[in-house]
Amino acid sequence: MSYITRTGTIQMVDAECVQEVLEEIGATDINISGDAINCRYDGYSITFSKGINGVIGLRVRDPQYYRGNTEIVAESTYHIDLFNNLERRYPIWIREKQEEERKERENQERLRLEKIRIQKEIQAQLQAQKQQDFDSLSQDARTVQIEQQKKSAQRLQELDSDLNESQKALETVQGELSRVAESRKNFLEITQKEIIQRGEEGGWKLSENFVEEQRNVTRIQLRKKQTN
Amino acid sequence: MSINSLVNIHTIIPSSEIYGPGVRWVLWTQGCSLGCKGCWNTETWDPDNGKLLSLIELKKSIDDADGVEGITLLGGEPLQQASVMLELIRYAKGKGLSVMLYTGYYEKEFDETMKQCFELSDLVIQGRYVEEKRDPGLLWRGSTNQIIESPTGYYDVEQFEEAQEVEIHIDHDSGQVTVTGYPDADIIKMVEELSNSKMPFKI
Repeated sequence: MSYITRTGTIQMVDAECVQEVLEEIGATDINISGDAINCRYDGYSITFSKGINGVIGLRVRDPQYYRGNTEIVAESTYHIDLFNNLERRYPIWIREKQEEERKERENQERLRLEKIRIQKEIQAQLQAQKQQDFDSLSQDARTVQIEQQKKSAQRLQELDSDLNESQKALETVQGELSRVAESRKNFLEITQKEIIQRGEEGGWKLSENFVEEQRNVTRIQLRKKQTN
Repeated sequence: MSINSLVNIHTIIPSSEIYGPGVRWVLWTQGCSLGCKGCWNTETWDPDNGKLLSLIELKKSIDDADGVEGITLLGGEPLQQASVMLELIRYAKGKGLSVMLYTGYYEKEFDETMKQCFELSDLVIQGRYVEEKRDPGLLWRGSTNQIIESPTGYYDVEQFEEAQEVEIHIDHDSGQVTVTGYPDADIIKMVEELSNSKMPFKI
């Protein structure tokens, strides 16, 4: 017989992301301080703990243990439901941000291409003006050309402004995603370090610690010889 | 045996070093009716809680496992799916891989197919887990009544030094932490603390 257990597949490690998701779910009075995230939800005061590796967890009183106390059972069950909801929404929030980044990149590319097209049009217009005697054109034709140039210049300005806005939006979403990535990196590093350190304190000897590139998994092996 | 025959599985770890000699592809089957008292893996008992994979998918998973010395079959109770296990054992042997088999059955309880699985395996851990005989210092076993043997003689069982081993896998993409082997209560508690946990606590 051997032991095997797995944690949930989603490790919520970014407190700000958790905060945004909680807001989406409808929590209020959200307050992140030190190793706790407090909020209110439907009249309940809820506290999530933040582990040493940044992971957000929930410790509640066991509803089974308090089977007789309906108030505690209701409260505990409620907390677990909210946590489950948070766990469901957390990866969706990340996916939505990734999608936002993708769309913003596409938007920027579209704007850039339009800018290039208009710049080329202006160049062509100027080139044509050089080749023909502008003064010999009729008043109407001159007006049309001038209007066209004005429109193009105005559109270029709009595009520059849109590109600036898009760049800001892209930087914001990239900032959020890189913060999540950084939190995950910290989670991995600290989790690994803690497992090894606390394992060794418990009398285990580290026999393997490496990254399996193919699976993108860190594998830590601890060994203990029996001394009795 | 059809290649579409289904195997009821709990988990596959394509690469581990604590379930037998060297690096091994490890399969936990789902379903065990032996009901050993104090079993650490009760979640592998219910046959309805597993995932059905075809033999062809399992063979592909073995093929994809790079640089392994062998495969290890445990559970659940692998020999409660003896005919598909036999097919897997033959496949692994055909690829030059060694086979390690965990079974809660004793040899005298084997039917013909179980016996074939046993005889083809290079290393077998045999016998029920007996809580009163639990010894965390044993290599690859949970209790002292469990026997290590090498039916094919491929391994010299005398060479293995007793030790308690645990392996922790941290998935970089999902952050999921998997604990296998023979952890003590401190290790389990530590992993709970270091991961998302909505484990209710008793006060």
